[in-house]
Amino acid sequence: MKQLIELKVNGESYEAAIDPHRTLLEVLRENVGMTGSKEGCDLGACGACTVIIDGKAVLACLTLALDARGKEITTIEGLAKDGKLHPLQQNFVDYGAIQCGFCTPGAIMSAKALLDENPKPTVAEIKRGVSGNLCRCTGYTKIIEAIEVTAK
Amino acid sequence: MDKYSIIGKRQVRTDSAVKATGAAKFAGDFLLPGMLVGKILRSPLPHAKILNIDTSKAMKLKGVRAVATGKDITDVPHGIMRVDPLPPILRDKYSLAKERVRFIGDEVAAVAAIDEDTAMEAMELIKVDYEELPAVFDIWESLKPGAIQIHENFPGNISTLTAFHHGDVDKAFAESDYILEDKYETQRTHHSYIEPHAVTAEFYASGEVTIWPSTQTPFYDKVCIAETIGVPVNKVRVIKPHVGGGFGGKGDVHSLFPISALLSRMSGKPVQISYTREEDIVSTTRRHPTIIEQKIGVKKDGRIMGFDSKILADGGAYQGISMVSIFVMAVFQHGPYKLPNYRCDARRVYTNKPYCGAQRGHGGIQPRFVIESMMDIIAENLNLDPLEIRRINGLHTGDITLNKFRIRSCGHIESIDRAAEDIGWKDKRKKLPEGKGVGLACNFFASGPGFSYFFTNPPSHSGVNITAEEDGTFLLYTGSSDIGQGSETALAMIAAEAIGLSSIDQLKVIAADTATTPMDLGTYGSRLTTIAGNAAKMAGTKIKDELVETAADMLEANKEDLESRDGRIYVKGNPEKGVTIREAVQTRFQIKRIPLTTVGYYNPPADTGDTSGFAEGKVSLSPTWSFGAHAAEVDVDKETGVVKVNKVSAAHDCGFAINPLAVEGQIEGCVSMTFGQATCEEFRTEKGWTMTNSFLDYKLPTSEDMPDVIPIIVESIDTEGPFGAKEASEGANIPTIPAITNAICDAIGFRVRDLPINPEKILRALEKKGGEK
Ligand code: FES
Ligand code: FES
Repeated sequence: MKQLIELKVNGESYEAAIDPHRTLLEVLRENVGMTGSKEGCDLGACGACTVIIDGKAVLACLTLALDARGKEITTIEGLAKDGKLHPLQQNFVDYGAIQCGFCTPGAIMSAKALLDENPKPTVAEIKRGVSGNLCRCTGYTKIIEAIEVTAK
Repeated sequence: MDKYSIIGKRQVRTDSAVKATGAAKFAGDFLLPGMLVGKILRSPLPHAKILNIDTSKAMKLKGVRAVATGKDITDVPHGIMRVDPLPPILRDKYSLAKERVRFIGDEVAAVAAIDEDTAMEAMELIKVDYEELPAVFDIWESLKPGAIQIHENFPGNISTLTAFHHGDVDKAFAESDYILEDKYETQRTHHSYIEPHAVTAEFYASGEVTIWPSTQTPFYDKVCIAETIGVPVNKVRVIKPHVGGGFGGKGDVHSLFPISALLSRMSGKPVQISYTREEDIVSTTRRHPTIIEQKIGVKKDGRIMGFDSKILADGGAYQGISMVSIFVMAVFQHGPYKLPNYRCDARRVYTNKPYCGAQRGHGGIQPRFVIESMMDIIAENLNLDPLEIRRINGLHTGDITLNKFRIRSCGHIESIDRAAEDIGWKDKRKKLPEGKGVGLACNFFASGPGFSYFFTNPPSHSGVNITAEEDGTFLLYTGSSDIGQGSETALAMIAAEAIGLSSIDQLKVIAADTATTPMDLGTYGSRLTTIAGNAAKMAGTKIKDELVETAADMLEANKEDLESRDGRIYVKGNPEKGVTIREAVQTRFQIKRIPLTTVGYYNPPADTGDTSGFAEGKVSLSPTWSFGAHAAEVDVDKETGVVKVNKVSAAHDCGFAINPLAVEGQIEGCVSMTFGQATCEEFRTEKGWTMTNSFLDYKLPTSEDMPDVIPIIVESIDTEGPFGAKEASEGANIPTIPAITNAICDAIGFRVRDLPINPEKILRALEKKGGEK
């Protein structure tokens, strides 16, 4: 039986009729229509689905949509404001941290959660902060650089 | 003034902002009205005959819109290898199995349903009767006389064989002062692009179909889909969306593409198939594992006299593009060292396992690990510096190899020198404390294949059209596929430089739509910068020539005296006297009423394109060749056996860096992939079952694992590449593994001969030596 739920995503409310076992990732992508969060493994192992819930980086593929009710969900779509990229997004662009871009939304969300909590991280802390975000293209060098520059 | 206005400068990519915001659409991001979910039922057996498939129960399930089996496709086998005559004899697989399955994961049937749960339920209702056949999982079993034949028309289970002999190897060994024979093994690895394969397809009532696949080769896909579902080629439109990495794994036209088109035709609705990570790892291709026996004869001073190479590759259940894989493993040995005599016997053997194909550094990785290890052993035994033996044997600009590769530019020695200097070779090699070491290895790779896998007579290898807009901006149409490497930006830079624009913002790239863009063979063999780049340069130059003519009229000047640069066309030496490019375009349109569209194209030169000697290793394969050297520094923990790679200094000769920011990114990405192959990645099967079927079991390097990677750009200014550029996306992942294993040898005296390196192997080796160096 489908259940009607309400989610608060990037400050706006969305209603959806879903089967209770649907993950937040599926509901964001299929019901809310926000496909920025990616599915790379569906198993909590790649980080491509990372979103922020109440200030913490969370893997949307391991979160039931039902459990996200009543919480503040931020996705990659919620970062740019008035057509202006968030500083993290801008630095990912400028420092060449984006190649294929499939890991990018998750990596930026992890980086945001890290910097929100620890605005001046060391390089080791940055590496730890995005260690759950697999990237097969960049070798991470430029991702780490982009986060470092943002924190400066 | 700089030599160039646009190229050679760090350029932010044109597609980055859309990717940073999550707005970029990948194949699984399309949400079309009425769209169905497609799922593929796979064989649970490694080898079996299909006796019957009963789909009636599945069809009756509420919400199921189509169920397809091998009966619903044509009899043309699936794949990208053609080679006349038709039907293509090198294809041995169907998009949906017809009578037989040959590995666990083989495609048997497909379902389209209103949602994923329904599709999954339907798959359980499909009843397949199999007659199980004996299966072979090991190449030695497969090669035994009397072994079950996996494909009837490939006797002895040999899927591909390349054997050739240049010069006189036996004589060379007789004249050698020192001969080293050695044996190495490399493992299977998977590309593990972070986006699993996905596709969205929509079949229209007009009989036409559009598909959006995660692909590297849309023009091959188009033909393969048309052949499989039995429609004319011009009814299939393939539009490449953003692609989440490919690394060779998305160049093989996997079954989901034709299946999605088929399901959409059967259901009358758009269909999307998104592979799970498990499905992707199991059913797509992977790098060939090899056993290589190599013999190298040298003179006392280290000069190579002869090479004898025996390569055995476990191909898995199907051919894929392995004819090329085996061929390139054999012929890429012709550089970066000059071989006066060379013999090779390379075979690929069928087994009932997931099959192998191309992965970044295709054909270079396996033999290079062997050769670079052996160069170090030879140097050690002859008391030579490992750098010196590499220098004295190195190819030079102007050389032609035994098998007729033309070396038009060569940064071999500069790469060695700069990588060695960056790692601190002089102060470290053999001088670091026990457990620490440095190593170096070299590289050689093609800048694009000189032949087409698929088309007998393609219109060209790459076409680029440029059209002027009324406001003096331009549209560039290319069939080439950017899958994350940054080729669209590079093409825009090349064309903008050729026209004389002030920024790439004045030129918009429209790419990889088989209905609207000129054909390009695709992304593989590290071909785009050289091949599509030359096409872009030609189209841009033609635009410039036309506009200079218009400007000459406007300025009442000789066109020979004009220069086009930074958005203006002006008299050389008198920049005040000129017009803007925009004015030139507008004058052309308004006064002359002539539209402005140019056609650029590129075909590898005639001395590189002959495929007649494929099996004999005589094909002059690439327009030009890249070189490079990596130096690695490692710490080996003798208690735990853990190898920590601290740093890789990665020098790569890319001819000329069109976009240094992107070239660095390619080098860094290359190193990370082969650092993974060296230290943690291994695709494992047991009795045909894939054991490493998730990212928990198939371990990729993380941000915390990676060494410091120092990209070093070497520029040899090639005579064939556009503005001197060569490839930068594959060659740079070849030397990493032997650089690391050579460093381990420097640290603890242990020679790694099989991959990946793991603590058990290191501890066992240390035990054998009593823990002593
Ligand atoms: S999709 Fe959620 S961690 Fe990979
Ligand atoms: S940019 Fe491609 S996976 Fe990270």
